Amino acid sequence: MKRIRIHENLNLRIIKTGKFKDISFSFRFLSNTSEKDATIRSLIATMASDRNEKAPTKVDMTRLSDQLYGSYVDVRNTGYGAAICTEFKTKVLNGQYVHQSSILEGFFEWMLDMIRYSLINDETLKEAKKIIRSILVRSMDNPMQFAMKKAFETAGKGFPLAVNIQGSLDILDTISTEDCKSYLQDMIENMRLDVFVVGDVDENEVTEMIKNSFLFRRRDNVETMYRMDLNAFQSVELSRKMDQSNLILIYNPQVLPTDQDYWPLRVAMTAFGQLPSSLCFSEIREKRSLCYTIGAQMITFDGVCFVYTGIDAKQADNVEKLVDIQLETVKNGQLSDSLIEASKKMMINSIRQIDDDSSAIINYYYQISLIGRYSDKEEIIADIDKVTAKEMSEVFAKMTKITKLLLKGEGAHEQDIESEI
Amino acid sequence: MNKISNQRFNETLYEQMLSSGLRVVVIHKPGYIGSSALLATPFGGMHTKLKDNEGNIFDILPGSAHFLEHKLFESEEGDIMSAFTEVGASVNAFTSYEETVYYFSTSNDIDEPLNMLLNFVGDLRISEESVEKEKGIIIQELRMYAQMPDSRLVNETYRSLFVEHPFSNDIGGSEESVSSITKAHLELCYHLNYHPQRMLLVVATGEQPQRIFDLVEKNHASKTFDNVPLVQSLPINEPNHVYRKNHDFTLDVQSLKSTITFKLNHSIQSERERKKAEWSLRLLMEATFSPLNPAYQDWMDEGVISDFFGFEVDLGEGYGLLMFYNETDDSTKFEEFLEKEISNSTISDATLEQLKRRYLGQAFRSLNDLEDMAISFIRATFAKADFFESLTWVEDISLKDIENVRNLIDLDNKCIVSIKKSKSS
Repeated sequence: MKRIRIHENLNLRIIKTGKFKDISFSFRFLSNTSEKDATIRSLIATMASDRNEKAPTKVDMTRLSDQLYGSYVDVRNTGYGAAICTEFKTKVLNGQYVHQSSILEGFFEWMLDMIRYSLINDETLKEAKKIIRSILVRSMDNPMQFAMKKAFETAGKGFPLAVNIQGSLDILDTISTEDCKSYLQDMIENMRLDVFVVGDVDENEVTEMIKNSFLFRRRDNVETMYRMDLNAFQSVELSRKMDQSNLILIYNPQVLPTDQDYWPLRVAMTAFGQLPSSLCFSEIREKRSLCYTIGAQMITFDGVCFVYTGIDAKQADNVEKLVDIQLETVKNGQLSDSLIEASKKMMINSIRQIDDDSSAIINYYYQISLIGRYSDKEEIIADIDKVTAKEMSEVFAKMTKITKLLLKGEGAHEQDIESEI
Repeated sequence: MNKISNQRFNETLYEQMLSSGLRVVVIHKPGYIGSSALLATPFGGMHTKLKDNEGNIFDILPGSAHFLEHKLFESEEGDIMSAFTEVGASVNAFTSYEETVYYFSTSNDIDEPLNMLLNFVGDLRISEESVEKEKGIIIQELRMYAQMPDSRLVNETYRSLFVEHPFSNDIGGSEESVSSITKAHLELCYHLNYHPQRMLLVVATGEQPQRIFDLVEKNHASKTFDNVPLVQSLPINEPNHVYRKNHDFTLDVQSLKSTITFKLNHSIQSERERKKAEWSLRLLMEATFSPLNPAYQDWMDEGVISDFFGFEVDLGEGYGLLMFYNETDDSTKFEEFLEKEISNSTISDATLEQLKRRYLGQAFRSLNDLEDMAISFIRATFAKADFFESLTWVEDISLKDIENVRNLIDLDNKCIVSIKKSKSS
């Protein structure tokens, strides 16, 4: 990998490889997060991937994309703790497969146009608002997604954790065309930018393309990681007419990737609820058949962990107690050596497999650069290898439960009448 | 070992038929760190009636293939999933309507997990008690999907469209069918469908192919396989009409959705011809119902369609469907819109060439991922098609082909399925 800091807070990383059929480009703009930032960015993402000033209709955009063998630009937002990132991502077919060696030239210009000349006006904003509203309402119809959203809102009130990266229905209508235009301008001109290129490219050529573009300027960085300094427990129960219930439990160990006990926590979480042989999966699903879905995840940049499961409403208290027991097992240092070793192996396995997927490569190097702790995969693997059972037990002692959210299934909906055949 | 190279896609495969009857294919991907191995049987949710070559007919309960997939992960020696994680391999399985596939991926040495995959799929050991216990997990799984609006909408659509075809069942069956599955029934399903002669192993890896063949041959040499009469699925006599023309169901949701699905009746026998017809129809619909059509913007602005709007085309053996889905509370208006636009649908030569270019790019990209490529290979093989050829079928489509498939759509032969809001929403 070639890593070049071409200007202040403007970084370019080129991962040269010939094993993929295409070349991936990713432009990532970072700033602080808030409900308003997330909502404006969602609108910009919708408008930018739809049309631009040089291709002002959907028909024009589709034609341009198909000339490049279906290279559409995917614009999406991701939260990294206290920060939010808008990514413009695209792939172009390696010209050797279609006997078109110059494909990259036109492509690069097209890609930059997508960022610089996004078509933002009253008409496109109106359409984008309609789409974002639909997405937000639709996401609430998925019980597990809704339960998680409500749990994060409860646990993270007043902190970035509570911000829905897809935007907020409450403020959607207050955003103006001017808000979006000036935000995009600020993004292009001032916000930290990381550019990634994965594929068979000429490194010097790509570097020159960036240096000669409007993106080449000094930029501002922001903090991503933060700790939620709270331990008070809150319990919320909501209900819906459905058969299954969703239980979300949120813990706040306040451990960040820069901390010494980060990798002990990651290994412990893997053993606790991320493998088919993990404690939660084997004790709650396999041994007792109490659920189909159960798992545990970390929200890395917020220092928070959570457990999610789909269960029968009558079993909610029982399942919560069983999760507590598994947590105590890790805390008390009762994890088996074989499960600890398996957890480490699986983590190392997935780190090594990153090299086989261009999106995974980009995500990995971006996170590493935000964390600022590692320069090489082997350093991470060494840190995982040296995690001890004692360290895992100690870090799990920090797992304070701060939120329980139960989305209770109140039985099936009204009886559907079989329509006439 | 038979070597198959494709210069255009710059890919090489190796294949060998083992003495046990298992067909093994190695997709050689030099430079890749990981390996993926997939062991598949052409037994899925749609196989509810099987016939052996002696004429015996076997009725299979809906959801049996999926239930069996769950139970194969059980072993008297210990937990199979744990055994894979202990060697740094990630194992899983899935059941579709057409097949069941068991697979693992690893960046470590492939020998141990590959032997484990062959061993656990090659040996069913279950108890009455464990079968009963599994029912609780599967019922939770069915309930989870039943309350997810999109998967429920598709299931209700299939139930409304098909009369005899097993697509009318969920892949996982119903709570009733799952409850009535027994140990003996699962053993019968296993016996009929898991013989090496019926299965296919695909390994996508940077490792040397011969090493893989030697390893699998050695594993199978230590086993004995009963002579099992090979079974095939009985042809399904699906009537031309739909099961029910209109169906509404309630969910506790905010966003109302509908599908309008046209039943396509055809008698195309060969997979190649069927897929050519499927592509032809897809291209016509893409030209009409996507941003390629200037009217698409007006439809969005007027609220006739939402960002959720889309369509699916599927032409299989003995069935065919063209499904449209949309977020709407007025399915009648949606129906009128579709009927008008389908009648007016058209595609120019320039648009056809534009779409071919898009799908060619997509075909190349589909070869980047080890598992995706292996799954596509399995599906092409079970459908008796050539994998590399199948990637470029779209290139052969002409305007005349597209004009010919238009006749498959009968605007009166359709079902309309809608999600209605629960009164308490």
